[in-house]
Amino acid sequence: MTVQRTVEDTRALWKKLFGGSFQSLTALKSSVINGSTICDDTLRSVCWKMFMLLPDLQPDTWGNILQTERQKYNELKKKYLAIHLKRAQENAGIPSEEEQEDLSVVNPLSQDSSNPWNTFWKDEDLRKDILQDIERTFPDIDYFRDKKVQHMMLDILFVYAKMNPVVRYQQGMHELLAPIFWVISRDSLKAPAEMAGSDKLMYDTLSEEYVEHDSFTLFNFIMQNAWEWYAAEGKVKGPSENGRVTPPIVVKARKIQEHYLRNIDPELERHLRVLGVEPQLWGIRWIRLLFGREFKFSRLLNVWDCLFAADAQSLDLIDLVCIALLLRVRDQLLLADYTGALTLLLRYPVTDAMVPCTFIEDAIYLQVHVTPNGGRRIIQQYIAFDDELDNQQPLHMINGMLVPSTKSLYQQRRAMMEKAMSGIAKNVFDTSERLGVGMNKYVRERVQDVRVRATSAIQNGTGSVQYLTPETSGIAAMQRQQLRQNGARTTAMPKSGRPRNGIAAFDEVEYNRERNERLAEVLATSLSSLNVLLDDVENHGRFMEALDRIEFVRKCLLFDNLRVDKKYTTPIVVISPRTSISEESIPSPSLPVPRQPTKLREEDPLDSTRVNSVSSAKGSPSSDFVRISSSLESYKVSSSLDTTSSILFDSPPISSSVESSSTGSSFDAKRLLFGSEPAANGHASIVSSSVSPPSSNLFGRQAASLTSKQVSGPSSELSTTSPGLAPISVEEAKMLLGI
Amino acid sequence: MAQDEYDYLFKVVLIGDSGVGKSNLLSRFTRDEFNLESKSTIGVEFATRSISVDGKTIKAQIWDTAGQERYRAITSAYYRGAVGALLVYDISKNGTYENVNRWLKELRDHADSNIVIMLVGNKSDLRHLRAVPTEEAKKFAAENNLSFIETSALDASNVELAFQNILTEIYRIVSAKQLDQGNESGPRPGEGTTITFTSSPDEIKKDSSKCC
Repeated sequence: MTVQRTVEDTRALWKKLFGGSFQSLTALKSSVINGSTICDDTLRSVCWKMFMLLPDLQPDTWGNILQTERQKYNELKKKYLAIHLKRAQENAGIPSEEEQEDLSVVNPLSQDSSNPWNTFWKDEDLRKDILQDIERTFPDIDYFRDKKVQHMMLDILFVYAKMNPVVRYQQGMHELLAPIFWVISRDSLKAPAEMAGSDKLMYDTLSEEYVEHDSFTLFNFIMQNAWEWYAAEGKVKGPSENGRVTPPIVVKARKIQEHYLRNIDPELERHLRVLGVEPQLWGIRWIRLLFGREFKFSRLLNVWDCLFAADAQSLDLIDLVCIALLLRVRDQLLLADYTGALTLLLRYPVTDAMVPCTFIEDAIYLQVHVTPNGGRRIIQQYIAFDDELDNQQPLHMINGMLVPSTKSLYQQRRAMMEKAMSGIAKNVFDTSERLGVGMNKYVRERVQDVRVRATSAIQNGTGSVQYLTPETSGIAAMQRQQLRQNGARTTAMPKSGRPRNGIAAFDEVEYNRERNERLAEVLATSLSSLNVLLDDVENHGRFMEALDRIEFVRKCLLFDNLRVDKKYTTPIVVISPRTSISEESIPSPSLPVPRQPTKLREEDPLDSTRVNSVSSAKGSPSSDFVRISSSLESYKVSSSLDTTSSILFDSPPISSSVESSSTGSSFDAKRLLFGSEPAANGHASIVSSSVSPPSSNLFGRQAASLTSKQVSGPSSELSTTSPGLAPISVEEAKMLLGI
Repeated sequence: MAQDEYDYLFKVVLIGDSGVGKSNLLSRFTRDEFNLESKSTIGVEFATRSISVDGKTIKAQIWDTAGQERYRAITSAYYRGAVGALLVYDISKNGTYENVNRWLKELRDHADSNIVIMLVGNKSDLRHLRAVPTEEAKKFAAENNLSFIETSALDASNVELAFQNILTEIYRIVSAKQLDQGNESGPRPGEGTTITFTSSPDEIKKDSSKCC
């Protein structure tokens, strides 16, 4: 058996779980999905019981739920294991209390149809089959070699098989049961003869006596949905081929590939289809074992924590978890042939850098975004910010030409922005960790906050994920952890070998502060242009320029010796765009949400000019002017640092995390110094000299007058600030950089 | 990528009851590994290894499935394109030998009728527990037109030979077939040919996409 904890330790964990850190079961679930380690840190078995069976986070509301289930299992055992139990009792020298049976019928050799011994021999074959698998359960975990454990698992699976004659026992069920059994056993307690009243609920829940019972209950709970994946052809209703009913697991695997993957990542779906990789080949094991072979045991428990927290009741989410796994290796898959692809999927390359809950988070996001955009958003989280990879991306521009595709310019650019922001945040962390100084916890969380808002602003639609809470602290914590795990460097290995003590360290901080101040300026100028330019065809060069500035900031954060040239803080002047903006090209949050309390200063005289360029542009006849005005705003911003810019990001109440799992990216000095190739047009001159139409000055003036009009008239139709949008100011940009 | 250059690609499937040692035969042949306590196979496993026959490189794509995969959710995908089958039983468990007939029926139902079948009595190291006499199995194999060998994945005896034999046999059939057809444009080195006995164009098309 597992080593049990002491009563004191268990009591402490019990208190930690129920001590008020979580207001409700829903809050606990959200936290687990967001990467909280509460299941690791307290009593996982109790968490799982709550995710599946128990109504609330209040043990005193549980009533007799567990007791009833335990009683049911006792009765099932009596029913299906009568002879086994009797024999076991006899072997133990306990006389049978039952009435004398008719020995002419009830004996091992009788052929009478009512002879229980008939089924006994069949049952023995079934038990042999089950035991053969149990003996091979997690061979590397000693716990499962314990004969007592094996016997209890055998009884559970046997009872399940007997009560479900349609599916009986199938290989794989043992590996669904094993982690459950281990988890419950790990937390179990031997109840003392006498106990304090306050401990009673704890002992009741964790009683060692009922490890087998409770394991059956949770296993049976999962099997309510999972049984179909084990069910045979011809035994269940469903679509048929050649007169045979297709097994539900095949139907499910096909749905994953042919419906979900086709909608989310058509390119990958097509590739797998052309190769002839049938989805059931990998799906059967992923699904039947709930990814038990893909993750190592300890991580599997984390995957299940999140999965049960998110969707213990239906387990429908696993279809999308499969997609999340596929997307994570899509680049490798796209390069693979049949053998390579199948090998990859059958030996899925989970690394320690892959945080288990991120697969569930991705799945939750995809569940409500079964679209190529949804897929792209997930894919981009895991792509290194790497020029070579960029070139493989269909999103890129070539020499300023728009890639002819069905994707809108807006979408393409949004994706680029998102990527740039991911890179920035990653490098902010890397830098501060490398220097070992600078950012305190608050600032780090602000960075995450800003970033999460930024990324949700540029993602499609609401960006909201049902299960996540508005507090980003949990997300931030998880992201930090993930960044550390995924980042190229670790805190333990500072990149520069400079001394970190005394004056030198102080100088470094000071240098860093000044430099960051300038970087904040660079960031402000680019960000203020980006939103304006998202769907602007004519200003492609400006868009790329803005993007390059973000990239430049990223590289500065990566390499301390890069000078922040003044040219990067000059405003990016946007040419008057004459293009009309179509309604659907601008996604907006579907839920109007209250403005996030950000660092807005009430007394800021320019506050009334905070115009949401995106939302005001939408459907507004004067959208062009608004955009010009906001670009001029950015000019003001960069010339006087203490004002605020008009970059606005919508801030959905809840956001899913966006993380770059890149393992660092290479520094391309050429690109940095001479501009990236795709942006070559118009990049060389920062202020619009290369492409400016003759009317640009005129429009500039027009815009300037409009801006002043806005300032004087906050109720102007142009300043249709959406309540769901919160701006990022230079202050916030500075905050983002930890200054 | 030199490993990926081959003249022929043969798909060979492992079948037989649960616990007879299919997965260990696969790992012994492809990775020279053996694990006394290996996990049960769920769904399929799959590995490749190239061998040389008559100076030709033959890439064997070997598929392994769960012996207890009773309802064969993956049957069609599993047998599709297979040109060889190792039908494995455990020489120490008579039941696994008795089930050989069931597996033959399965092959008749789902695999290509020309599939080359080899009967393999595994766990030959368990001499003291032998339940299936070698002669009996040999006789059964001859009657059913199967080749036969006893192996031990544990001590590696005959594992290499078993795969060599079946792959060579497949190769002989295939090259004879090519000769019969007067096929002068044989496969070029490095390009590879997936051999399928099925003449349905659909099958050929599918398989040719796999060999790259």
